[in-house]
Amino acid sequence: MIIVSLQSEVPAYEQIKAQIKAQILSGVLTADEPLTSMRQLARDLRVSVITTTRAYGDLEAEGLIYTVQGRGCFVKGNAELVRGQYLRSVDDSLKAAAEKGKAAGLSLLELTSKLEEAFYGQRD
Amino acid sequence: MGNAIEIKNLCKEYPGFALKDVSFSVPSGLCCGFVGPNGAGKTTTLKAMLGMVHKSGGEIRLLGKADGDVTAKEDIGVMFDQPYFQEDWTPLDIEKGIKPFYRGWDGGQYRKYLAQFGLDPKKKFKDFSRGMKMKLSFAVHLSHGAKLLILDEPTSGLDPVARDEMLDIMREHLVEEDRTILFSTHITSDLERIADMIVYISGGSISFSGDKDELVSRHCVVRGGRLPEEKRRYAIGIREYKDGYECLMETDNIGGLPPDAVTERATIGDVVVYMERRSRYA
Repeated sequence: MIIVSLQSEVPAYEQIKAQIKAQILSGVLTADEPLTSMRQLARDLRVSVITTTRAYGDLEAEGLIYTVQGRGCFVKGNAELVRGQYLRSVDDSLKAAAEKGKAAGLSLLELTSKLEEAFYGQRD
Repeated sequence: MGNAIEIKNLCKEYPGFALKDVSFSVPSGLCCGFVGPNGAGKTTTLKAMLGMVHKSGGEIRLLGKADGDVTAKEDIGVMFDQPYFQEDWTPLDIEKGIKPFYRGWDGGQYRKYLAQFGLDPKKKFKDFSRGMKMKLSFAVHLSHGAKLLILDEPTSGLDPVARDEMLDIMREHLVEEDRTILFSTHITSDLERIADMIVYISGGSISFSGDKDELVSRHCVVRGGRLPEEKRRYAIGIREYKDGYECLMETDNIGGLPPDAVTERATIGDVVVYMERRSRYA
């Protein structure tokens, strides 16, 4: 399932990209599974062809999907690897945030609430 | 991927109106919105593309074929805002009349579309509503395997439900690779979601041609109390009233506006309206 919000400040292609990425990293889409064709997805979501082309292009550049000429796009088998990279990068960012927060005199509670804000803020 | 449409320096002179050096191209596989106010030259451009008016100069290539090459016409579907079928003909008569002109005519497909669009094959053309007439036009042009659809105001005069249906038919058509649509309209909201690119014509010349998202993200609508003097030159189509103003501005220029100013993402409609206001009242 992919939902595009037209009211959102986030461009449609970013929304599509983020949702497919989440489905790959969480294992909803598995290795070598075919993705809906770009043109079909554009029709289904009622967005332009360029929008879905851009989303798929970015996913391919990030190494999450691959294209077979004439057959379409498929999920790459390295979701575990990419997910691992994401987790490491989450650790690093949190460490950096904790250090900066301490330096600025924030309590753990204040830091946590900031994380919560960031987490829920991204949803809309 | 080549260009489905290539127009270079198209000129056409009429008394009191001229197309001046109209150039743009549409890569094959995309949906392009052709916008501009009434009388800007949209229909004239489309007619020149189809050889329905004699151009004074310039070059037109459709589906890679030079103008005058009639073989390109097989793969082109054209719809003007008034469908032009014989009033007394039924959809079945229309098929008989049209079939001989297209090698790629697919009668099975045509009947499928008639059923899908809810068109009675034995009803006379004149007895159909406007929305039904437009759907019938689509049924005809989608049944001869057109790779390029040129549509002049296909959604004008239709209620929102029928307009939505037209757009869905176009989307369905675009699912296949290498199908291109050029679609003129002054209902710019129809384009917000379906169009990949926009060609914007004003006063007989092209003001913009390119990526839709670029056109939209390059501009924003600004509203505020008073526009500082040094920002005035960036305001496009400004409208001022007793204690406020609104205008269009390029996103690069909005830095340094006073804090009371509100900026909003522009729609294609906003861009056209403010640009026209600037050119008319400048």
